[in-house]
Amino acid sequence: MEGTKYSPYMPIDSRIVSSMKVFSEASSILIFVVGALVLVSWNLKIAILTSIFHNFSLMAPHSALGAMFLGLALWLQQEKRSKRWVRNLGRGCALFVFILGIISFAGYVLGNNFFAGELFFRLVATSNWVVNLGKMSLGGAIVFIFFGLALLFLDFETKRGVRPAQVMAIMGGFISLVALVGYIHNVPSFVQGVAVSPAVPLYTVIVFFIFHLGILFAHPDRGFTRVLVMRSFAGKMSRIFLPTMFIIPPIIGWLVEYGKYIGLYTLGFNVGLETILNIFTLSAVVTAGIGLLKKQEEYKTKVDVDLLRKEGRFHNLVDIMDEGIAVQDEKGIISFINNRGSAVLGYKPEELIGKSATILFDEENQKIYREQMVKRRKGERASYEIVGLRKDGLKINAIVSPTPLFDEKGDFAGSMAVFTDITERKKAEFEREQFFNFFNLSSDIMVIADPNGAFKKVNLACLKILGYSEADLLTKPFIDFVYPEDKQATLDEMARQIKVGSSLNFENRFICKDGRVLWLSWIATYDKDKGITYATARDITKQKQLVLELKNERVISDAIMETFPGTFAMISQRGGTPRWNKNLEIVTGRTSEEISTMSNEQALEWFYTKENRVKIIEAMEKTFREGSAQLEVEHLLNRGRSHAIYFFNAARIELNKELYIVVWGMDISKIKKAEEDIKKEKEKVDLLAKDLEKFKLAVDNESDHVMITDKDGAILYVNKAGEEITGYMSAEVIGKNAGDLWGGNMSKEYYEKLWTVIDDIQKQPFVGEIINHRKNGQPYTAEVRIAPVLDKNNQVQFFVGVERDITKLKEAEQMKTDFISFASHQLRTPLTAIKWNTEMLRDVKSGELTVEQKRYLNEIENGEKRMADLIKSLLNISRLEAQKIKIEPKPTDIASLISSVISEVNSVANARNCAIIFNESDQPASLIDADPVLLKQVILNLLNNAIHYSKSRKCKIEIGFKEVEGHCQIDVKDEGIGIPSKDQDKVFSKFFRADNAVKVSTEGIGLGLYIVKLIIETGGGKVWFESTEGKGSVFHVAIPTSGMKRVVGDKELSI
Amino acid sequence: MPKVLDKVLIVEDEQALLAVLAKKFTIEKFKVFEAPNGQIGLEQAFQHHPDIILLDILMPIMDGMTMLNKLRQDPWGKSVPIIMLTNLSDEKKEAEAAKEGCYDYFIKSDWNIDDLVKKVKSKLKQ
Repeated sequence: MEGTKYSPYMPIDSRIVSSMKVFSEASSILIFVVGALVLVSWNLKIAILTSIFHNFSLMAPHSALGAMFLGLALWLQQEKRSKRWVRNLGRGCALFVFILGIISFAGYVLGNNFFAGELFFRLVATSNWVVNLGKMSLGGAIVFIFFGLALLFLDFETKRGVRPAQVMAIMGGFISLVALVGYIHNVPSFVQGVAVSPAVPLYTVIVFFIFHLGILFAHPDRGFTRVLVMRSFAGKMSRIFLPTMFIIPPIIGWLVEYGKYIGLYTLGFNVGLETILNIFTLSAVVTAGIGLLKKQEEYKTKVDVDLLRKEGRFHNLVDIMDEGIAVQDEKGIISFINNRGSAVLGYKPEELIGKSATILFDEENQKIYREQMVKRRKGERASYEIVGLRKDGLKINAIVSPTPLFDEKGDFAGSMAVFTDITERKKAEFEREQFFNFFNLSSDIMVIADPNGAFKKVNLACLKILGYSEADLLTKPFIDFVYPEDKQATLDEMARQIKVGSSLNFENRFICKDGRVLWLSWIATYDKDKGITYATARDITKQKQLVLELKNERVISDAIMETFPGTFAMISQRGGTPRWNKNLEIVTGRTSEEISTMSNEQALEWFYTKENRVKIIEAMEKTFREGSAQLEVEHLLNRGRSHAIYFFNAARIELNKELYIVVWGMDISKIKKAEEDIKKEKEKVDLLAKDLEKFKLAVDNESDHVMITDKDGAILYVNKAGEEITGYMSAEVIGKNAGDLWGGNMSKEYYEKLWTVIDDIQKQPFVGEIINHRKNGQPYTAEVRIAPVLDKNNQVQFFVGVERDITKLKEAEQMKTDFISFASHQLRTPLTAIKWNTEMLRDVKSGELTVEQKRYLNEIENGEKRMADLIKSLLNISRLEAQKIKIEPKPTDIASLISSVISEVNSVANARNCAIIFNESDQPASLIDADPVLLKQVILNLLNNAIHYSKSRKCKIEIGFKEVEGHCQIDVKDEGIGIPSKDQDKVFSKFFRADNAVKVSTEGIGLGLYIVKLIIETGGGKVWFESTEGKGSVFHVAIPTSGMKRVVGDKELSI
Repeated sequence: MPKVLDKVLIVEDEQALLAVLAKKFTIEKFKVFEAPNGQIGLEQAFQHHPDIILLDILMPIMDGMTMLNKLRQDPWGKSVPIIMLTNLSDEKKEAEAAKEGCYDYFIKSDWNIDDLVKKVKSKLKQ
């Protein structure tokens, strides 16, 4: 909108504006038409037209042209025309008219009969009406100048809203009005102006007058015509009065003139009448005007008063108002501020009026203010918040509702602002927000409840922790959520809280939505005024659990402490024993009281001897320094009455920045003793080990093969000799079975027998000869003794085997045996020949023998018998010595054996008059495992000796047997020659015969007792005697009741 | 009717002993066959099928044990009663002989001829 200089407060009537514009256009067309008509009439010399103008002079043609151009100019520059070239064309027309006017005027000024028109027309017209060409009237010229100018500057408007076009137009209009009045009152000077000027025609005058209005109305809402279009009172007035003032007087004048013309009245009368009428009209108009003005003034006053009153009220209102109101002008200078406003800012109103509004803001907010002012200029009126600066420097928050102000011209005239101090509100809001944040962001439960037990408000934490929705919690009484056992306590606490006003650390349990039970600790305040309780709760479930766990831990640690078989104490660095176990009391004999109150020095005195205290102190210091220590020391027990060696293990701990030692003590007296014992044992063992070493060495170097196997025959140990004999290295054979390695050469029965002896039943040592083979396959003969080693339960643990490679021995023996066999065979053969031949000789069939022949035959037979016996004995001995005689114990009835021997020797005994007494009846009947053959030989030899060495006439031989000390003892008592003491140790020797024995008989070989000894001792028994020379002897043979030892052999005794 | 005499084969290398034995058994009404070694003994045995054989061990050419062996391999020889008659007191030999099923093993120097004859007769009566 261009018209910022136009006050937007005075609205215009747009209908009038458009009517005026229509008028303006119409007037332009009118003037154009008139001008055209004149020109046409000039051209066509049309009488009609001349007749119309008969009373009036015709307008000069160039005037008419000018008129046309004027019409064009106006028409082309109507406001609605938008095209520039149109308007410029209009301006061009206006310029032409102006020039025309100037030239014409110049003609008048210069006194030049300057028929500009002629000049002009001469160029174009025919000569016909040149004569009658008039000149433009002066008035017309001037009008043309004015109108021309007006139309040239039609659109121009000064800054202050003045339109020169309107001024020009009015000038032109005034001239035409003057001319009109001249016509009415017949004043030629009014019409002509100067004498030389033709009269401007009436119609021209009228047209000019109308045209001037048209120019004025070209832009009716601009310039001073604006008032005509305003809706306001002024507009109304002007619309009424201006035309009246211009129209009515001329009409009155004309009426008067007409009255005068028709002779209604005289000259003086009509002037007087005119004067009266004028007075009347004028006064009427003036009165009307005064009346209207009065009304206006009254109205205005009323309005003013009202306004004042209102203003006053407004002021009051304004001042009572909670809000501040300030008005500033366009420069930002405060022109008004109400009391509240200034008070809010800390000023008095007079202090602010006239000052720039910027003093009310700090730098940051001045920026905002300036931004806002820009907005005001634009007419924006949105509210905004700003921080103002009080006089005292405090900041206030304000909401400003601005209203921009514009003056009548529409220029920015400042603004009015209604502002409210929202600092408090802001604070309150902020606090509320804070509270709300706090309320909801808090991780503790926060609730507001009414005394009836319902939650009114719950925070997010409450919902989260308990798991219920807000709806759940707010609709039920909160007691519903309390754990049943705690309900009563909770209700009681609620009641108490209401009475007392607050509740602190009240604990109860709540049931969560998912069924879990939580411990909560409440702090609540009851607001009496509001009648509500504010409460906050903390989830202490974990703490409660912790406490429980701690309790449990305590129970456990106490149990550990108390069940420890030793002593426990916790000693503070500063002194004192905060914790200890019962054992400490029991062992030291001190009471709980004593221990709890004893100082460290006291403890030293009570528990340790003087010499040891240093050690204890050192150990404690070590513990504090390095963290741990151990110590073995004598500990006084039972109030110092006894002592024991204790082992202490101490460690340092830190609790609450205090240092403590925890120490366990154990009575190690027994252990110490045990240690001693073990040391001694170890020494013994070491000695044993050494012996074992020696033994091992001995065995290792033993020339016989020594082997130890487990119960299944797997080799555990074999000595060096074994390696040499078997050809296997000990490493090769360990774990393997001996039999697999070098056995297997004997018959199945042999091995079965072997195992039977050593394992299955008998578990006895097996002694015998075995043929094994060496690693290289070479067989060798060994004398083997395999003995089982039995454990406590008589189960075989090991076998110990000793083997002697007797291959060579065997060979030698074999050679010996072979030799003996052969020799005996060879010796026997001739003997047999002697025997049988003598037998044949004896036989009657060979012939009768003389007594002497028979005698010689007897001697031969005797000799043969002796030889035979000798050979037999030699053979037996060699066999016995070679241990080839087998002993096969069988359950033997000793009694019957003895009896049979007695019967055998009976004849011999009778021959020598010896009675053999065998008391069977009082002998215990027993069967003993004995080799009957060998035993028989033994008994035989003994009896034979007894018989042979009896003292000729009537001797008694007693034989019996008894059980003595696990042995079967056979005694043979004789009354014979006895054995001289010097010979007693020799009687068992081979071929030995005592001197007195030799005297008795030269026949004995001296082998009988030797054989007895050999047999009995090989069989595991004993043989001894008592004898007195000349008196007799008693021979004893004892065989173990367990039986004679079995001897594997391949020879029998040659009987 | 003349009685069929029992036949006895005596295998012995010692001439002196052989002669005595032969004389005695003839007196005792035996048909006596003699052999000085195992070889001839076998021939004699197969030829004459004696009712009993007295067999010495130590003999040249073929000893008694071998002859015993060979004899026992013969279908007739299997069952003929044999008495080893030797001075060799060797249990091994004795066992061996017993294995081959000889009736007895006598050491000559322990035995009278008379007893020998009695033994032979008692065996034949069986």
